[in-house]
Amino acid sequence: MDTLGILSPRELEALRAGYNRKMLLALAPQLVAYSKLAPETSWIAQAVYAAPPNSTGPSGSAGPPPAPTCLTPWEREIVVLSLAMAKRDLFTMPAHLYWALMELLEHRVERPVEKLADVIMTAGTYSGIDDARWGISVLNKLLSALGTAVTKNLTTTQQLLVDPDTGVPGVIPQTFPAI
Amino acid sequence: MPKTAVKRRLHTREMPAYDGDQAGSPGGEPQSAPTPSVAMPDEDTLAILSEDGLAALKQGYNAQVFASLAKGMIRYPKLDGEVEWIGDNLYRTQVRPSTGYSTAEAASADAVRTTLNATEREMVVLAVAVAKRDLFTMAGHIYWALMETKHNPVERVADALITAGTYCGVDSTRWAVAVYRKVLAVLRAAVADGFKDTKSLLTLRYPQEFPEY
Repeated sequence: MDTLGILSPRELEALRAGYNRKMLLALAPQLVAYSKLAPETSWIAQAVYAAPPNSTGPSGSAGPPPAPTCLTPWEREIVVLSLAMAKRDLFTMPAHLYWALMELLEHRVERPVEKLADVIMTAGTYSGIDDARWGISVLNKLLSALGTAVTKNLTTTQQLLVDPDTGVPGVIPQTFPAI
Repeated sequence: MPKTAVKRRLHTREMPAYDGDQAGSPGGEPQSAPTPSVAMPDEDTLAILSEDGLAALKQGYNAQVFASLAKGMIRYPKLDGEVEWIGDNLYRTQVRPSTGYSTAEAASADAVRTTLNATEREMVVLAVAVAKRDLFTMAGHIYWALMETKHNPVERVADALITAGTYCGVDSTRWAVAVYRKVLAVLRAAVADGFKDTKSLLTLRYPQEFPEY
């Protein structure tokens, strides 16, 4: 199936309704499980992700909080996805494709899946056609997994990524079992 | 002369300053390597280029010049088709006219074009350029991104670069910010010297300041 036809508007809406940005902002800094790195992850959360201080997980930064980014969440995700693709980062890529898709849906942007595919197309033009193939393959696999998840009524960010209380991986890490 | 020195000299001599559709032709007289003249600035990154300087550059900006230069950058005819595809589909955003397309051909030509606007596209290109430490692409596309970003462009481009650096490593952040500061200083100097338009910037100032061109 063509990338643009994998998820229906109804399925996209179900995913949007289950999206929880706060949870993602709190989850991300906890992914680097080494306490000495806590100040760095805290800085990233606040400066790059513009997360409020109480949602950043581990703390420990010295001095005043950094000035937050002036990029929108979608613009930030454009950059993160482009790099994940250039680096073939299978951990970062599917989770951030989900994040980017949700931000586009939250802001009612038209043709959100096509926007994601176009980011991959553009990045692939500059990083290589092999990266474009890889990126589109990851996107297609993710969209298919999300479609299956919707049919099983698994649409919340918690169900799709990870249960923050139990640590049980959700649909996306189960589909892409990368470190 | 040692072989490596000859090689280096030849390499330098065979990379003439790019001047769009005129010079740099195969067999043309090679030019000597230019000497950069703009020093790295001392100011905070956000203070290097003034609002007035930015406004002057925006006034002289012409996106069409990029298109005409791109055609001459890869001088190998077999690649013409790829370069043309990139120009037509990545660098032209879908229009989707509200009144509909005039012909079926126009509709299908538009449908395969990108949905990304110029700012979004430039963020992708810059992110990949940071990952690859591509000075040629970075210098040109930083200018392009600044010209295409409507609100708060200097800070927005800086934030795109530090976001890229966060995922590439602090060494890449340093490199990207250093290139950015140099580009901003070159643009400031270009404005002061009267090189405000896209063509003279890219064909005269850039080859001088970024010898990797």
